[in-house]
Parts: sequence; C-alpha cells; structure tokens
Amino acid sequence: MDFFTSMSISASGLSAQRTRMNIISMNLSNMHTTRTSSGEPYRRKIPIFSTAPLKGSFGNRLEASLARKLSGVRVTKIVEDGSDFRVIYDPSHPDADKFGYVKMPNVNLMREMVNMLTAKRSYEANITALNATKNMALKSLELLK
Amino acid sequence: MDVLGKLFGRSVDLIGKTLDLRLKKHSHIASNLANIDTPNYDVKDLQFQKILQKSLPDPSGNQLRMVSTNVRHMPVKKDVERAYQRAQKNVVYGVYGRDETGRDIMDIDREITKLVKNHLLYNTTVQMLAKKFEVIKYAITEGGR
Repeated sequence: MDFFTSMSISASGLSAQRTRMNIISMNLSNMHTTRTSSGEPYRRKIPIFSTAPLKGSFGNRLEASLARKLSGVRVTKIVEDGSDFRVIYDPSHPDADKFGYVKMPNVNLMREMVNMLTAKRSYEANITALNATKNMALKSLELLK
Repeated sequence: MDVLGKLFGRSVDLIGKTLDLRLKKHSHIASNLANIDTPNYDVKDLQFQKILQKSLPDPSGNQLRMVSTNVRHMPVKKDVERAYQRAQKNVVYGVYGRDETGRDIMDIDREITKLVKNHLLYNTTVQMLAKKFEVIKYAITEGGR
C-alpha cells in the first residue's frame, strides 16, 4: 500500500471515463449515419464498466487484494443498443424505402448530452482524488525538511 | 531502543500509524470514485478512528487496563499496535445504504467531501509529526549551547 496504489486507481477511472467520452462523441457524430458496413444504420454504442484488479507486479496485486479488494475500473466491452431505429419520412433520401421512410440511428441527442455531463463529472471526481493523492505525497515529503 | 522510545515517545508511533490508515482510507475513496459508474460495485470505507481511539488511555482514568508491576511481566503496552492491526481490516460496505434493487447507493458529493476531509486530516497529521520532530531537534540544538 502506497501512494501509487491510489494513483493507479484514479488513473484507471480517468481512462475509463475518457473511453466513455470517446464513445459518446462517436454516437453524437454518427447521429445521422444511415449507412454502415453492416448495411443498416448506425447503432448506438454503450460502454460496460466493471471493476478491474490493479496493474503491477504480483506483489502489488496480492497486497491490493489483501487490502479488502481495492480495485480500479475499466471498460470491459462495448455493446450495441438493440432498440428500434428512429424512422423519419423523407422520400428524397437515397436510403428511403419504397414508402419514403428512412431509418435513422437510435441515438438520442438529449440522452447523449446527459451522459456526457455525467462522464465529465466522474472524470473531475477522479482528477480531484488524484490531486489529493499528489498533495498528500508532497506533504509527507515535507517531513524531510 | 529504550533511549529512542523515550526520545520519541508513544505519540510518534501513533501518528505514523494514523498517517498510514489515512492513506489506506484515501485509497478506498479513490476506488469508490473510480468505480462510480460500475454496476454492482460495493462501496467501501475504512473506518478506524473509533478503534484507534479506544486503544488510547482514557483521559478521565476510568478505563480498566492491565498493569505490569514487574519488569519481567509480559508487555501490555502493545495496545496501539493491536488496534492498528484491527483498524486496517475494518472495511465497511454500503456506507450510503442500498436502493430497492439491493445495489449500493453511491453519493458523489459525500464521497468528495469525505476525500477532502481525509486529505485535510492527513495534512494535519503530517504537520503534527513535523512539529514533533522540530521540538526534538530544538531540544537537541539548544541543549548543546
């Protein structure tokens, strides 16, 4: 147990939230994509978070698990949202069916925005924890003065 | 050892252990913050203050404790060490309660407040330790004049 344990926990949180942010950006930028390689419109992607053992040597991991399972976080997989596509009426669209309806991606702008805010706040929380760790480490160095 | 023990007294040892426990508590808070969006995550907290406090002699003198009347008696003043060992295992789960589905509730505001509080107390403890050493140094240098 040292300062680097909590630093690597916070770092894993930062990286997971950044991955989430990347996925949200991808969802937002593909909000109107009607063609993908699979042939259907773009499907919204969702990151799945799970706890992760700390990186490092065997000794570090053992110690972390002894300290009542301190764990970091990581994005284990990215799944697709299976909900229905949004259907709009636009006969002039090249991807419209014979009735003039176009399937649009199942991305909801409001939901993505709210997710983005949550990701941002979580990222900030991890930054705060990291800063606190840094300050504590610096403060304990003052003992040497 | 005896000379050193007399020089530093019991409080330096206690302060050192407190620092260590504060750092461990900090790691748990960092872990909670990193896993803020992880489903089914158990919120943890290290609660040590009461345990450590109990190991200290009661200022009112009401506490019953074992007394050694002979130098050959088994040492009884290992209270702090024992309390420290016990305190670092006292990890509490689900501090903010559970919701109706049985998952731990995570409160980011209270968690950040806890982080800041722990941080401040850590700095205070370092300050106390530094002052303690300063006093000893002062006694050494001034005594030589």
